Amino acid sequence: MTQLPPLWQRSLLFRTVTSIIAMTLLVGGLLVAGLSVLVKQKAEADAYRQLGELIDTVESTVRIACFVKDEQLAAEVARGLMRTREISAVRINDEQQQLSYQERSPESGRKMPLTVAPLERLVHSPFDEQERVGSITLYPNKALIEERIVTSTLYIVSQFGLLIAAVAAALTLTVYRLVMRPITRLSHGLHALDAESGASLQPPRSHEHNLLGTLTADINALTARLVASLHDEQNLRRQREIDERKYRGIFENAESGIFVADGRCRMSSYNRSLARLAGLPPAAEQVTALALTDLPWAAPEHLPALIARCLHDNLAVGDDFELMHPEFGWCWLNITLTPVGPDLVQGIVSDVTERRDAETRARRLAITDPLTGLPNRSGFEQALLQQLENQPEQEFTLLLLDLDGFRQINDALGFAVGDQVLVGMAARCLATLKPGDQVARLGGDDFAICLTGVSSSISAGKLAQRLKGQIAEPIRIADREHGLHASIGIARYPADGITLSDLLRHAELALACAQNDGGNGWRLFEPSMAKAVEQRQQLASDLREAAHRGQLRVHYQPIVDLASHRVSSAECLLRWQHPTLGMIPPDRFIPLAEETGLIDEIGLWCLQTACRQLAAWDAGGLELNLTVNVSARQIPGGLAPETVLSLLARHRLAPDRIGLEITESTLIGDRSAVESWLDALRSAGCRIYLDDFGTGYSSLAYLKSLQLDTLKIDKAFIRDLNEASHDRVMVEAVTMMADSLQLSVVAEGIETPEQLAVLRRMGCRYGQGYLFSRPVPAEQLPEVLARVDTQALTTTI
Amino acid sequence: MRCLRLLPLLLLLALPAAHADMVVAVRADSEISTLGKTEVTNIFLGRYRQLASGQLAEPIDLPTGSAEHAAFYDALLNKTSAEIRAYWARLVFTGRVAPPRTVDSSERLLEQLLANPRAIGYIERGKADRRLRVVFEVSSR
Repeated sequence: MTQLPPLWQRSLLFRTVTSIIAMTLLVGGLLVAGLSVLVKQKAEADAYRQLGELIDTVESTVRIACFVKDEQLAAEVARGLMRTREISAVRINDEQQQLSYQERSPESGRKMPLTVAPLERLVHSPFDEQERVGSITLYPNKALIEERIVTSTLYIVSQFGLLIAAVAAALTLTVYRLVMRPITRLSHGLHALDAESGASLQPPRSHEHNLLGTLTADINALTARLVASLHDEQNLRRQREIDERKYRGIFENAESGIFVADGRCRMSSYNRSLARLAGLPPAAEQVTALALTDLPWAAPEHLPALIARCLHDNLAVGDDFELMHPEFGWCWLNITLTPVGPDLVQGIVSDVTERRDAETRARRLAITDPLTGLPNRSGFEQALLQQLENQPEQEFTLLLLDLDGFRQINDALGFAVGDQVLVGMAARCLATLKPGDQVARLGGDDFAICLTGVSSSISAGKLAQRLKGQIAEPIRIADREHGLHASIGIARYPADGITLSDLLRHAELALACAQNDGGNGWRLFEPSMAKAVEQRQQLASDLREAAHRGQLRVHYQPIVDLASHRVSSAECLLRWQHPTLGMIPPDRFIPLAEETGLIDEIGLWCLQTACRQLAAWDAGGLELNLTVNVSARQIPGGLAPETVLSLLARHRLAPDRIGLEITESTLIGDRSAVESWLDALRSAGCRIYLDDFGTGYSSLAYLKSLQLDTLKIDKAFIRDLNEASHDRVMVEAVTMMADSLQLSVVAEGIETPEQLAVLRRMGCRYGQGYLFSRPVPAEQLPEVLARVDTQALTTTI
Repeated sequence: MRCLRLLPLLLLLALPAAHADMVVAVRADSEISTLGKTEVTNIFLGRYRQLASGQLAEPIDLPTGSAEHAAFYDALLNKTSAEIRAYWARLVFTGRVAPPRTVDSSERLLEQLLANPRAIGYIERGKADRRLRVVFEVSSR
């Protein structure tokens, strides 16, 4: 490298100068060639001009010579002309003949390709310009012209030569001084430059502001950029080394297994954790690339698919794989793949065996009843659905079993005993069954049994019967024996339904029928059951409409003071005039209203109507109190005390004008809520009636603790009152007890004068029944009141 | 005053005398009957002495300083006497042709004409008498 620059430099200079000289020579040559043509033409033209001038000089003499045809004079003139070198020959003629001819002896040798024509001029008489007297012809001296051309050309050539030499010298010097020397200096400077220390190249002196200065600046800028890039590169490499070490550390010491594999599952590297997780030899000992698929997976074919998906979608994907570990046996590994190159994925492997086990347990738990170990509702449904899907032709019978009176055991003896009963019953159910049958506890005391292969109603009935017998066997818990019965509803596949939901619903319907029949029995599903349910549902929706369309009416049945035989108050009773079914009795639609929640709305409407009616009667001068039935469902939220009181206030009615009839079933619920409801209303002045007394628990404790005003003895006790029966004793006892508790008593359902007489004798204060009046619409009530009063007169009479 | 009045008249008389019409004449009995201007020029300026008809002609000139000489060459060739003299000078020194024989005066010329039938000369028209034949009248343009 150090030897090259002078040569290169010389060569450049040489080439520059040579090319300039060559160009100049070329241009000069062309110029000279052009000029020599001009020179030749000029020489010839000069020659002719000179000949012309010579002729002019001698013309007057020649004229005379020709005029007088004087040969001597002509010869004299010719000789004179021949003294001039330009002329090689002279000819003078007169009109007829040659007067004189003279020529120069030809000069040695050279012939130029000159076409030099002789110059001939006509000679006229000296006295008459019109008269031709002869001619004179001059022959130019070719040799002389040639010689002049050569001389002139040589002169031009030598001039150009000198010029070229001078220009070349000047150029060489200039190029050397202005270009070569600065470049050489730059080159030396560049060689000596230590760019990394921040040094920069100095532009050659006096070239700071020209192209060389710019070049220097460019070189400095480039150098600076290169140095900066170099620094960046070094930093980057250093950083990469650090990163490499860092990631190598992470890679090697990670808890998770890490590997890098190509699209054909061959691992190019993997870490210690993966070796441990998958039971591989340490990566360092592995010479050939190990393929992931060679590991003992449970389903190795899924792995290439996962890698292909990862590479194709360029997305991180992951899945769990089961692996036979050489030491630990089957375990679950989660592999998450991340694409890291065109045909390269990085995988992170973690042991998820525990998670998988927990999931399996949780799944099992989700479909199992923890108490009995039987499948729960969802487990049972899953199993049946699966069976319906896989073996749609397989017949089976679905039994739903509900323990009668289990709730009482639970309430009376506690959940622990109840649970034991359930466990015992589950065992009995299981014992009854053949292999292939299924038992599940759907919740509470409901069990479901699926009997495969049983489809006839007879065999199903037999089995139900046997099951019922098993359940009915006394069960011994905590040294006490308990007797239980079961109600069973049966639905068959495919006879009673082909979908699981249909089958379950139909079995439930059958079960409900069995329970309605009094329990301890079984029923096969019949389509009429579904129809009844449908009708009920239709009725429920009609009832909803009825409440809005004013199909409900309130009828009033008077309550008579038996002593004075005067009407003291009247009970409001709801009537439903159905548009197509006609009059529907309350015992059909009130339970429906209670089930559907419509009872709140209907009850409130009834109370409103009662209040309005009372206010109307008050205005009309009819003095009467009313009682309104309040369903257990309405207490405490459905008919809040403040609602009742505000309603009364709105109609300017004293609270004691309204009596609220509650039933014993109300008292079974949340005692404290019910008590505060009663307190609120009673302390405000409302009267509370206990309706249908005697049919339910009829707990004396209730009577004592609750704030009541009146008992209404159920008509069932009144019906047989005239005979010497238990009922009579009971009614008497109740009347006495109520009296002592300072409660009034209303006897319901008085139909005969005999019953009335008995009750009067017993000292029962009030009575109600067909004997006095059926429930009548409001407008008929005044008439009824009048009639009852009249009756009183007649009875008294 | 009278002299002044006569001056233009005198001048008028003097001019015709200076430019008196010249004629070329030969002896009355000469064979030369008539000549053209070209023939006169060729004969007097030495081109030839023999006419086309074969007759010889000997031109006789007057001295270059004479009025007749000047008038003749001026009328014939529009040349001055000096020019004619220069013309002849070149021929005299190098050529073979000789100029016409010169006589002193027009009287002498007349004598020569009368004496030699081939002689041919120029004289004022007034001086040409019946002894002479005018062969060419030199028009004064």
